[in-house]
Formats: sequence, structure tokens, C-alpha cells
Amino acid sequence: MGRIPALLATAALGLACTAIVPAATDVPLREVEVPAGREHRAAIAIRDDVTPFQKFGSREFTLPYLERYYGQARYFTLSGKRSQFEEFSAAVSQALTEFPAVDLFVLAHSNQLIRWVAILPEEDRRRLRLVYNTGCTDLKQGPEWLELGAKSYIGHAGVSFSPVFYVYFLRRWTRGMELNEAVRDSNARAFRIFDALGAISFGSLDAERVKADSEAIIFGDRSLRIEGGP
Amino acid sequence: MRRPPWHIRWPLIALGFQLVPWLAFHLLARAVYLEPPSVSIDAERPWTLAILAASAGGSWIFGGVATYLLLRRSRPRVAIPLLLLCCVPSLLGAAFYTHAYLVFTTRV
Repeated sequence: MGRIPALLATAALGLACTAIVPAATDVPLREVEVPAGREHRAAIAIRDDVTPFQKFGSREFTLPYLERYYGQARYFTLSGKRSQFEEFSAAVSQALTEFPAVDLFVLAHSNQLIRWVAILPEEDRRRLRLVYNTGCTDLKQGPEWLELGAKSYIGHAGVSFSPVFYVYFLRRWTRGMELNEAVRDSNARAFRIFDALGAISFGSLDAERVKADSEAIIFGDRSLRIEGGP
Repeated sequence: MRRPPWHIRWPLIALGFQLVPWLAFHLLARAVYLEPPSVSIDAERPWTLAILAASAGGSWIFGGVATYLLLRRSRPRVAIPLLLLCCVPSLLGAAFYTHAYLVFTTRV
């Protein structure tokens, strides 16, 4: 092949690959500006004691979004060797007293971190706004979190592939999408991934079952937005 | 034994390079999170972005040069399998690391 056709073909192949990746993962979002009221909201995320690579991936994805879109962001990674209960509770307590709206991201397998928040004063807990919990079968905690003071709770009913949902959700919620819309869109995108996994595994992965187990469901106020108050 | 010509070596290098980012991320994760940590958690993000940028750049260069050389110098029966097995994965990797860099820096 001649020099110019070879260069053009190389560029075309590169462009095709550039188009495939966002389509297969997540498309660039048009709205990336920080929604109003950043100084009035705080976020706290906590990751359980998993493999180093999982801890690394969770923190590297989550923290930049929390730091950019919230007035204060704290991120905890649990380690088997020491309890961070006091540190975490103190951070939640401080955020609840200093910010009108506090969002909590519980990035942990089936967990009882709700107990770490339940000990805080009721008056402070009322400022708890959104709680997202990746834990398998932790959807059932919804009514308890609302009773504690959260305005909205998102959980997964079964043994879920929640990280797939979470990657889509965090990017949409922080950019100002209404909670209901962010969850619906993120569920739909996650379902496409499960369908694709089901297809390439020749059915050894039951996509319909994964969808049922992994679907994120909202308890409480579905109309929240990140820029909204408590 | 005679070494294969460069237009055959480049695609193999481009494919082999795809192991580098994953190895680097695993090593970084272990360095940060295994006790005792040998890399500070504050250094995690600069390292991550540096690895992503280097991986994207390396993959674009290796994948691009390999594709160009195959198209220029190989017969179709050699070029097509190497393009599919080596160059396309490398270019997809390049696009993936570029996209990941933009996602991790909250730009898209």
C-alpha cells in the first residue's frame, strides 16, 4: 500500500477504536460543570477491606468526583488491621454539623455500616441526604436509613454487580441529574453491559437474573438533585 | 535464528505493551494498600494519571506505527491477522486509556 493510503487507513482505524470505547463503556456527558451550591454539601465515601486493586480502583474513580462536586469530600478505605470506626463516625458527625446536606457513599459488600451512623445525634442525622449502598442484598436497609434521617436511599436487592451501576450513577448524579433519572439511566446502561456479558458468555451468565439482582432501587425522595438542599 | 523484520516485530511489541498498564496498576495498588505501604496514598493519583497517560501514549504510538508498517510492507495474508490480533487491541487499549484519563479527571 502507498504511503498516503497507509497513513489514512491507520488514522481511520484509530478513529474507529476511539468511537468504539465510549460506546462500549460510558459516553462523554455534555454537562460537566459543577452544579450550584457546592459549598453547602459534603460527601463521605467508605470502602470495605477488599483486594488492593479493588481499593485502588474505587478510590481513584470516586474521589475526584467527590472533590470536584462537593464542598467537602472524605474517603475512607477500611483495613483489616485497624478499626476506623471512630475516625469515620467523627468525619460524618463533623460533616453533618457543618453542612446542610451530606451524601454518603457506602462502597462495601453486604454491610452494617448503618450502625456507625445510627449512634450519631438525631438532630445531625436529619442533614443526611442521599445514601447509596453498593452492598449485596442491602436494599432492605432502605426503611432504616430513612428512619435515621436520610432523604433518599439507593440499594440493590440481590447478589449484585453494583460497581457497574455505580460507575454510571456517580457520573450522572454529580453532574446534576435528578436522582430518579440518574438511577433509571444508570440501570439501563448497566443492563446493556449485563446483556453483552450474557451474550459473550454464551448464556453461562444469566443476564436476566443479574439484572434482577443488580437493579438499583430508590427509597424516599426520588426528585433529589445534587444542588438541592437537605 | 533470524529475527523477524520490524514490520512483524512492531505489532508484537504493541500487543505486549498492553500488559504494562495492568501490571503497573497492580503494583501501584499493592504498594499503596499492602502493609506496610511503600507508596503514600497521596501519591496514588499522580501515579495513576501518569500511568494512564503513558499507557495511552505508548499504545497510540506502538499501535499506530505497527498498523502503518503492516499496511506498507506486508502481504494481506500476513497483515490482516496481525492487524486484528495485535494492532486493533493496541489501538482499543489506547482509546480506553485516553477515555479513562478523561473520566478519572472528571473532564467528560
